[in-house]
Amino acid sequence: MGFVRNEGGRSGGTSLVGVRASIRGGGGRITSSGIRDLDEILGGGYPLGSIVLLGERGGTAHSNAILNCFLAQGFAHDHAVAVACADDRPENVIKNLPVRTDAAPREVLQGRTEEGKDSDLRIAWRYRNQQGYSGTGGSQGGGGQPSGDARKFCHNFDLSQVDSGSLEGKKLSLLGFGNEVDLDNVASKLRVHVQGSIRAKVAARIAVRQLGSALWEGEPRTFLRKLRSLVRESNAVCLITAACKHRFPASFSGVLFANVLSNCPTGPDVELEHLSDVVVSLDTNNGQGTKSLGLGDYLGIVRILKNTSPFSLYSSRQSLKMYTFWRGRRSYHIEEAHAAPEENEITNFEDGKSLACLPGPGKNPAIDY
Amino acid sequence: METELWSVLRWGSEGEISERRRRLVVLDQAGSSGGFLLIWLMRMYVQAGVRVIFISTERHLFHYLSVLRKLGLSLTKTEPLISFIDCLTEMETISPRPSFPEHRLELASCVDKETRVHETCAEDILHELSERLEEAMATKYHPTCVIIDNLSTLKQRIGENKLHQLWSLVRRLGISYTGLVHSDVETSEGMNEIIFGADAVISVEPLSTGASIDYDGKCLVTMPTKTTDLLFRVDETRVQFFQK
Repeated sequence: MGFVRNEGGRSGGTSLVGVRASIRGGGGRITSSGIRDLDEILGGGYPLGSIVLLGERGGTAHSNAILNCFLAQGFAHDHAVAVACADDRPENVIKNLPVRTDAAPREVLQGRTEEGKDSDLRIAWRYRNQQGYSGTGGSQGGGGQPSGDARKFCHNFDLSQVDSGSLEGKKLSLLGFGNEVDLDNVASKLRVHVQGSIRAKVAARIAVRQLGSALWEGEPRTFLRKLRSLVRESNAVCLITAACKHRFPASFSGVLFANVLSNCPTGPDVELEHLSDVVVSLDTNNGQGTKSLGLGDYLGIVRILKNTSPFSLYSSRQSLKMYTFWRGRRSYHIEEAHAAPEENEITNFEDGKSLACLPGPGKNPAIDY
Repeated sequence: METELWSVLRWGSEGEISERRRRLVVLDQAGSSGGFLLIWLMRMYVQAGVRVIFISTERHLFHYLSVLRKLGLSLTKTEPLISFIDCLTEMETISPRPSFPEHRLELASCVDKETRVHETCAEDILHELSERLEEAMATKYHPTCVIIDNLSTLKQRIGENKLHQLWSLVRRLGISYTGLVHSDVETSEGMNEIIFGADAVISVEPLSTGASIDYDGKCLVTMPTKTTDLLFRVDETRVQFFQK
């Protein structure tokens, strides 16, 4: 008889919509980020009971878009969603969420039969046999029927369109700009929000935009500690975006595959990183993308700097990998970074221009092993 | 070459761990968390029959018990040697707590007592911790070790002065201790005093080359007479150390 066993009811189990058991076992649960590729590199999704810190260097566009996908996925699962931001009205954030492309007609969601759904979605059948559609029900991440079953783990969203649907009936809390920006009060209101989600027996999603912004009042570390204690005790996950301080040397091209954390200056972002459970870093190379870095023409680089989860001992070794990301017309795509084949430098590692297998920033260039 | 950390620390065999006081500080930094080492050490202490008082500001009890079970500790057949002081909560608690399988606690016979510190005032927190420590010491049929995960966050909660009072109490009680410190955010002299007062300091660092399939990082074990470089690898069910 295992010590921690997933059960419905008392422990919350995996009976929550949009929540599944973590592959790491031990009772951990995950929920989708709203971006399929991001779920994959994180090992399935964001762990419930965790703080996810999304840092972007040189801008906020992509981290805000990823946060919007997180919120949109929460609405798709009917989670209790809370948005806190100080740099814009949270109502404006909600109004700019991407539309769900696998949303079914309202009649379908009201429980019509399979035959009834099929008759209304004749065109959708065209895509049914393509890769990714398993044809099975509910909780398959990335698969499932295109009719938009609410129990699907990760839905498809179109970033080029805004969801203008009504928010009536949604469990929503809007905090920050226009209301108040004191972090202590925001933490108290988030506690009320999470308490409400427990009563409603749904998972909760908390999004805090640009925590390091000077527009917030109060101590971010204290706020993050309170938030952490709150999510640990509930079925909640919190996504925080923050601007990254300069974490790479000026000659970025020379250290792509080297660990530079030992040279990282201390600062609020390091303390926030310690208090977070999952840390994702986005770097667009000052908006120039990765072409000048010999990785092909992508928007930037994604690194998973930390990926701990409840009931698990350590971060996975995925933190060592580097990924590139690009934005299609509808969604973000993330894939493992490779040197572009057209780059001549891949055959010559001695001229200082190549990007792979360079020694790290330490004084002794010899490898450790 | 695979090795055992307790042999590098010159703790004799695993069975001799309980014989004398051990003072240990673990330093980590962003990108290389040292929390795994505290749980690994807790398992080692409990298996050696050492009573552990675990003060946590990071996770609740069930996280540690789940990991201990994965590391091979029998939660139902081990003596009640773990006293857990939960300092994670900084707000009024919510009720019910769906992520808490409290009905499972009775199956973990290795846990003697769990205490949650709700107070937010530093003085009250210190008072609570001191009471619990002295209470735990009152039943002195086993050698005792205090493990704190982690000192940096605890210092943020109760302040440096109160942390020093707590540390003085631990040293006055003459018991072993192990604490985790975030070396990249700690610059105070007070914390340096705690670090330099230890018998051994283990620095958990990322590999300087940054990429390895076989290893997760390196440990620099510093003792008064010797410094040892180790590589480590962490899986879900074990921690391995390798000496160059």
